[in-house]
This record gives sequence, structure tokens and C-alpha cells, in this order.
Amino acid sequence: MSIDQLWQERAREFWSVSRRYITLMANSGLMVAIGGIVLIIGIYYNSFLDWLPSTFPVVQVLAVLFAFMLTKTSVRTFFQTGDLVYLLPMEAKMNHYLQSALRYSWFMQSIVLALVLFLLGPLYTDRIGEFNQLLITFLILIAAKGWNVFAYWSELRYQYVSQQWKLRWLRFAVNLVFVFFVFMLEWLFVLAVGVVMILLLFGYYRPLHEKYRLKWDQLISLEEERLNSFYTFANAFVDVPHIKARVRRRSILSNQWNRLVTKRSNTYVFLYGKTFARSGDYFGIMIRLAIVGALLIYATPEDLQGLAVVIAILFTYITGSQLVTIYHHHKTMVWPELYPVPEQVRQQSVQSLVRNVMVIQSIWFTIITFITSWSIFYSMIALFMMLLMVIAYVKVQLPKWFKQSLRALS
Amino acid sequence: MTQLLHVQSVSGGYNPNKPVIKKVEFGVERGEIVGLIGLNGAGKSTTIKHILGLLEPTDGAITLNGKTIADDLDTYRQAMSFIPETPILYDELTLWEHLRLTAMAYDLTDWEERAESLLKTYRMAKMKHWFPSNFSKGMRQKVMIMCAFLVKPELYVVDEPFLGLDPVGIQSLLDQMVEMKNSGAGILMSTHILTTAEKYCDRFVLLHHGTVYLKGTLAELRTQANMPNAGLDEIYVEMTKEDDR
Repeated sequence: MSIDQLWQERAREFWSVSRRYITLMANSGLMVAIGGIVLIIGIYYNSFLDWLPSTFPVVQVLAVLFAFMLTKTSVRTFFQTGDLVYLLPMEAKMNHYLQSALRYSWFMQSIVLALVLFLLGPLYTDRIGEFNQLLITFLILIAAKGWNVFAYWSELRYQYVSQQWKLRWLRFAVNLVFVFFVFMLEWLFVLAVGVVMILLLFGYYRPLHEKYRLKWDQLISLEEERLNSFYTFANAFVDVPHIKARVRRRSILSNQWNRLVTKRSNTYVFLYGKTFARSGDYFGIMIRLAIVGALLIYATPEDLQGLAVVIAILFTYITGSQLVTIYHHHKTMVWPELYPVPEQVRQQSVQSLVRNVMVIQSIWFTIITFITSWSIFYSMIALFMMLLMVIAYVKVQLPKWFKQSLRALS
Repeated sequence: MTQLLHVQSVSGGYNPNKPVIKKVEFGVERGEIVGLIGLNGAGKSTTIKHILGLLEPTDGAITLNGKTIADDLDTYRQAMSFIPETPILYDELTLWEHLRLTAMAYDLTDWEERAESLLKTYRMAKMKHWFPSNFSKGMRQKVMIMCAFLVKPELYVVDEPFLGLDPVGIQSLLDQMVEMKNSGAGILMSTHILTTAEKYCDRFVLLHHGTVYLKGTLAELRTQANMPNAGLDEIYVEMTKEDDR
């Protein structure tokens, strides 16, 4: 395989893997989520336009939004760790490969631009200009995206990230002025800024390619980050085996467990508490369920309050049943097996964490029912039933679950 | 007084029909460092796993202070700490939290001062609140070492601890092992760095194909191998030659 075909080969590989994930995601809730969002937008769009006061600075907001979208650029190089050894000697012959990468990135990011512009189309024709002008705006934005992809790619030649960021802010400023004129329909100024941008392209960005070499390390880690963020997104819908949840410090939350007394019975309260707070999976799922459950309760019609009670109980239950897998989180670790701490203590710690999180979720849903102006009676019924379920789950279901998992292990 | 650690004719492994170690017999006394020496695949790690109680012997018994792990699980565990060959750290905990978790699990009192001084000894004070993802291999190994020494158990089980450690780390580790030994702890150390082993270990157990090939002090090994004046590495090499014939 020649180096010129390599990029196509890698892009194809990436898409065949992605397609499989996208199919899986589509089967497990992504389509429902997208459909739901589109439906909500469709229902509320017109009333949103009517509601939006005429003094609202539409042009300024759109200018900032699109300047941001133009500036935030990426280049899919499909570089891999091994390339540091195998492609490095080919650097001089990689023009074709890299052009493919730039073209592809331009195309993909233009699609995103087009989608957002399409969504904002009604707002544009309502407040800014004609449909024809929208079309011209679209073409100009695509061209500007191309400029940004090339400029960004040139910025990456600088060794220091701080230098790159300086240039990125500068680029944002240029984009902001440019887009502002586009939405002001000041075509002459657009042309003037456009000429400046072209001059920059040839006078400043292009020469960087002669002056500096590719920064392979950075490009490879950027590519890894991008792949990871795709898999992390996919992981929200389907189980991606090789994705490791990123650990975040989350000081305010995780410091709560610093107040524990340093003694044996707290060993697993500490370990699982910190894990809950910092590992992306658990706290994130709790928050997502809290938001989705709250929206559903809020949206339930008034005469169906019984259904909302069921929803509240169901979402509290799901919160617990998702969280309990934290028990297996450290199963590849040798330490829990070596600690002189009885297994029972470990199970109790998991139980109390699950219970506390479920109770917090119950209280949150009860607060939502108050906001939704339920009768106090129904709110109290909901709270009571949720707490009853929590007790049943933690006291009856969990011990069985522990026994089963231990049997499965041995 | 009973022997600290006694491995009594232990056979075991992952498959009862194909034991990795066969009738392994040796002991570790209080106040000595015993070197567990052997080629890759000789059965060192399997032996260590049996001692840690991660595997159950198909034959024989392992006692710590005269008691097996079945007699009293938590007392057995309390009495030893382990430094693994590959550092195993919690991604979710900072360096300091690793030490604190260890203090909790082993119910340590007055641990904070000792933890601080360990951080200084291993030059890790600056990284106190870092996550393991920011650590190099050597730093991760240092976290394991600090956790083990924080516990101050009766028995240390140390598996090939020198790889990836910087010279300061190696010297601190050796100094500390000697200090613990002098204060009465027993140490079982598996390693390939024979010159270091020769200098620091009081006795040796040479494993080969899952059996104890030779054991004793260096002088005893020389007599058994019939190689007076030989160093540990020469005896070791001679032992593997035997195999090729």
C-alpha cells in the first residue's frame, strides 16, 4: 500500500468501526433522544420566536456562536502511536495524506455548520435577512471553515501549546469581526476582511509549513483524544469495552469523604465514595437520570399524576441498580483481596452508598413534584413510596445480588 | 517461638493436574531477608500468590505465626504487606489517599507523621495530591513501597521491586528493608538483581521448574553446588546450565 492510499484506508477502517457503534447506539436510545430533541424544537420553535423580544441582540449572539464554531476546528489525521516509528521517516512524502485529512475535516465540520445554520434558519429569516442571503451566508461560512482548518493546521506547527492558544484567540477575533459583518449584511466589509484573511493565509500561515516540522507527538495525542471523546460519547449508549472512564478530581464532591475517621470500618466507605465521586460512570449516570426523570415528571399531564409517581419510583430504582455495579469496579485489583477487612464490611459500605444516593434521588424527585405544583398529598405519597422501594431494594434485593455475584466469581 | 512464615511442602498452581510448584518447602524467620531466586517461569510468582492467600495449595500448608489463612483470615492478612512486581494503583485515588486507605484497611494509628516522612524519603512530597495517571513507572512503584512500609507488618512479601526505580529509590528501599529487618520483621524478596540480593539477603531459596533446587546461606549454597568462592550469579548460571544437558 502506498502512503497516498493509507489515509483512505484508515478513514474506511474508522468508519466501519464507527458504523457498527452508531448502529448499536441507534438501537439503544440515541434515536429516541435525537427524535425527542427534534420534536421539542419543532413544537416550541415558533412560540420561541414570538417570545424572543425584538430587542434581543440576534446578530451579536449568532456572530459569537459562529465565530466559536469556526474557530473550534480539528483535523482528523488518523495518526496512531506506531506512526512515530513507521511514518516519521516518510514525513516529506506525506503531502497527499495530509491534504486528504484537511479536506475530510473541512467537509465534516461544514456539515455541522450547515446543520446549525439550518436549525437557526427560521430565526435568520425572521430577524436578519432574506432566504437568498441565508444561502450566501452558508457558502461564505463554508469557505471560512476551510480557511480555519488550514490556519489551525498551521498553528499546530508551533511546538508550545501556549503559542498555539495565542494564535487561536487571534483567529477567534478575526472570525468574530468577519461573521459579524456577514450577519450585518455588510458585504463590502465582508469582502475586505476576507481579503485580509487570504493575505494572512499566504503571508503568515503558509510559511509556517516551511519553517517548522510536524509535531508528531502532539498530533498523535490529539487524535487519541478525539477518538476517545467519540468512544466516551458512544459509551453513554452502549458498552464500549476498551474505554476507561476518565477520572476527574471533583474536589467539592469527593472531599466530602475526607471527613471520615481513619479506621478499618471506613475503608470501603472511603474507597467507594471517592470512586463514586470521581469515576465518570457513576456520578454522571446519577445526574443524567436525575435530569431525565425530572423532565419526565415535569412534563406529565396533571391528570396522570399516578403515572408520574411510577416514573419517580422507576428512576430512583434505575439509579440504584446502575450504581450497585460499583461493587465490581475494583475487581481487577489485588488489594481488596489482601486487606484485613471482612467482605461483609465491604458489602455494607456498598449498601450504604447505594442507599444514600437513592434517598438523595428520591428527595430530588419530590422537590420536582413540588415545583410542578402537585398537591402536597401526591408529593408525600410519591416520597413515601420511593423510600419504601429504597428500603426494599437495599435490604432485600442487594444481599441476594451480592451472593449471586460472589457465586459467579468463584 | 514459632517460625514467622513456614511454607510446608506446598504444591499448587492453576490446574490440579499440572502443579506449577511442587513440594516447595522453606521458611522466613523474624529479622532476616530471604531471597527467592529463579528464572522466568520457575514458580516465584506462584509461590508468592500462595503465600498471599490468592491461591489455595493442592497439597501442603502455609503458616504465618503458626496459623494458616483458614484459621484466621484477617489476622493472617494483617500480618503482611505486599509490594507487587507491577504497581497496582487505584485510578480514582491520589497518592495521599492511597496512604490513607492503607491506614484505614490496616487500622493504623499515628500514621500521618510516618506517611509524611515516607513521602520525603522517596522524594514524592510534591506529588502528594496527584493522581496515578500522572505518575511514571518508578513513581507508581514508590507508591506501592510507601504503602507497604506504612503498615509496618511482621512479614514483607516483595516481588522484584527494583525495576524502574531511580537510584535514590533503590537505596531508600534497601535501607528501609534493613531497618525493618533489624526491628524484627521478616522479608521475602523475589528478584533477578543477584548482586543486590547477594549483598542484602541472609538466605536464599533457588527455585527451578517449580521445586526448591538449593537453599541456605551463600556459604551453604556454595557447598551444595560444590562451587567454593563462587558468587550467587555464578551458582545461578551453573544451575540453569544443568538444565540444557
